[in-house]
Amino acid sequence: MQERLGERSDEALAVEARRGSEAAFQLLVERYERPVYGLLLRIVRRPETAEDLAQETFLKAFRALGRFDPERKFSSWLFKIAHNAALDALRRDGHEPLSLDAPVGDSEEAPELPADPKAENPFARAAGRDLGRALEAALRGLRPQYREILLLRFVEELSYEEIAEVLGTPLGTVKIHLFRARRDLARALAGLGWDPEELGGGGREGRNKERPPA
Amino acid sequence: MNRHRPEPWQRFLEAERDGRSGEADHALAELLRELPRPRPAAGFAARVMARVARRSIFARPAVRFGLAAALVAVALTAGLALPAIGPLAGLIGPAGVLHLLVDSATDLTIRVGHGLEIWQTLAAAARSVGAVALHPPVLFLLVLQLAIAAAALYALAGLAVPKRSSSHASL
Repeated sequence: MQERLGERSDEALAVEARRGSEAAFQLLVERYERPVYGLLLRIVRRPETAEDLAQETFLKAFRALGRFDPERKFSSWLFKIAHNAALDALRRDGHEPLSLDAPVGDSEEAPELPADPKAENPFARAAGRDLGRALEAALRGLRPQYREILLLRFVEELSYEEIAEVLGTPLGTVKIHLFRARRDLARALAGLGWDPEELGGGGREGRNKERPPA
Repeated sequence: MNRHRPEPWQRFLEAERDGRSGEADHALAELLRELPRPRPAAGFAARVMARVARRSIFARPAVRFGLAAALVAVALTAGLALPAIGPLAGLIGPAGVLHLLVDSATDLTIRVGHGLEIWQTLAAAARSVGAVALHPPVLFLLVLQLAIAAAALYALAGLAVPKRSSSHASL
């Protein structure tokens, strides 16, 4: 039963969970614990808060399963719940909401992002670790809403329409924000020393010129 | 790794600099996909499911059936027990309810009357005490007593609060 469930789509599992199958819901939790936690951690930047919010996200999703439309993508629906949970948490803590007009804060403390030691990931290896750090630092320097939109688009691979649904913003706004987020990330990376021209073609030896994250 | 092909970060930055939006998108996707994905502490799913189970306990068919059965049992027991409650049986019906209401209103009126009598007695006593206190010697004694009490209270407060030592003074 568990194996057969494991082969089903997210939406089919959500329907099963709605019928009372806790096994189906557990599979959904296992599938999405890392994406949801990762997104929340990069927004709220505190592991304990991110874990609490991730749990809250799944509980809210469980309670709202009756309203889930299987014609929609489960991941978008879940990320929307997570996004709203993060917004509420930021408001509760007196932080700025994820407003696109809010000023950028650069004094926020960087979280320790635990890497997966088993991952066959270039950044987990010594050669790529410095770029990984620079990329994390550049992401941290972005506005929270830009960070979120980049992660939704390029890590979770949501479409523009799905991002618009998650963030509750018009499609045109999503495209503009993505453009600005990408531009700001490129500037931040260059500012951290990852500039192809400055590094003379970007060979491995060039990486030694990396400056420590500000 | 293909040494002739620039790495994603290079392609991203170069495409971004040259305004090649589509290429920048592809390169950035490649770059960000390689970021390590943070994971919650071990046992996250189990913790979520434990909370789900607590919340969904009333959603389980067995629990729902049990609750429904308990409600039916209570209703049946109440129905069976009703005839056995003799003294209350008279209350059932409009006459019984009216009787109860009239009794309650009468009782309330009597109690309010008693309350007013107590207040009148207290007011008379207060007037008597006030009349005595307005005599100059009595008034002088009362003021003197109040002054002595205030001085004693001040002295006691001074004794009760320890003086700050020099090491705590800066705190």
